Amino acid sequence: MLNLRFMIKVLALSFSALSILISSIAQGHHSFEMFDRDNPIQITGEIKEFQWVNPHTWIQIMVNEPATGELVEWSIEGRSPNVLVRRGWTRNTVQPGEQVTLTIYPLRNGDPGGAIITIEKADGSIINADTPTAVDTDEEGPR
Amino acid sequence: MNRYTGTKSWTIFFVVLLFHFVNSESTAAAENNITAVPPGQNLSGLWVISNRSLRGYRDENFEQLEPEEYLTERGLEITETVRPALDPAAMCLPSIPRHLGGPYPIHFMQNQDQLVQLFEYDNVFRVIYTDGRMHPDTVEDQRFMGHAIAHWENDTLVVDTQNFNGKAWLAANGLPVSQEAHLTEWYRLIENGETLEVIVKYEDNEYLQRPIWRKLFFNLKNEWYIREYLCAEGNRDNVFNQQSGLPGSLRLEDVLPN
Repeated sequence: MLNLRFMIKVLALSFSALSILISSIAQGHHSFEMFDRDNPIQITGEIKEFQWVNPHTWIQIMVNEPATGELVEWSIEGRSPNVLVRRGWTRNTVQPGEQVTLTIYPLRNGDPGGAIITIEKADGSIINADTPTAVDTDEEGPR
Repeated sequence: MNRYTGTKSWTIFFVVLLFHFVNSESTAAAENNITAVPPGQNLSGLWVISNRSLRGYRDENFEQLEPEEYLTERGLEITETVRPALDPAAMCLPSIPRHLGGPYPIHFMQNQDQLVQLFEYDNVFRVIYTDGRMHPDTVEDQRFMGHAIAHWENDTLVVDTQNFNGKAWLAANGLPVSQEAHLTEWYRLIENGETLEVIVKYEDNEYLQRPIWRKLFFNLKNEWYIREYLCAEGNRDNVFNQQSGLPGSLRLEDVLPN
């Protein structure tokens, strides 16, 4: 079981917040149906690589499997640089060697991968990685 | 200076003068070509799709339709067995009207003869001809984005697109944009020119029982600029990537849930 292998916590997100996340992530380059968006999880580990590339950014993160002590590399898919840069990100927002906790929608097939929601850094700060895409108009008033 | 030399000099002088005159006229005409677009018909600018947009599969009153209401039997069969890793979009291939749906900006550039849409999404462009030309032969000239011609009806640009190549998908649901597909769009500036309304009518006798409609809204965001988006750079979610044994989220065996 995924949650036994990695001591993953199921998040208690409200239905409304989840709906917003789902609706925003549904846009884009390909279907996101392979992610289990009903059961977000958390993984903790060290960033191996942050790929600042289109059509999706990728975080490669080494996660310790408590049951075996084995380090497993997870591939976490994120929004494109074009979306993130308009929300204040740069290619250095996430750096190799950082210890972070990622909240993700895991892959349904159980492989070590998922789609990112938030990043919690070592200092406790949390970055919303599932930022609204350019379709959102919240910054423009009551549209 | 003999008589012949004098005549030649005058000839050269008049030729140079004539060239200068014609060239000036051409430059002025080119400038007029750009500035002559009436304000109400000037769609130039950077447009970003709004959450107000009525997307999906709708009837002529923009009410949502169920798949059984608009898909043919063949269309239903395709959408029930679609494999996302085979999506042409996951291989960086564009399509219309899919690329209108965002989330990336579209930069409109316009003169009297054409409206050019520069899509940040996949860094592709679309030329909509407003110079009175007709569509090319639908068998000889087929394209992912189709061939688009348009005309103005008062403050509305009516765009007609056909000549699709049958290789693109309408959406991630796997429904092909067949060679028979026909797209009509109505572009109109509203709300003091700060909003662009685009009504979309999409017809495809091969996969649709009836036309589907959408009403899209775009917000003017000229403080943004169009960015590079080279999809092939880090594209890991397609069948070719998997055949190479490289990591990604999609698997070839993944099928969308019904």
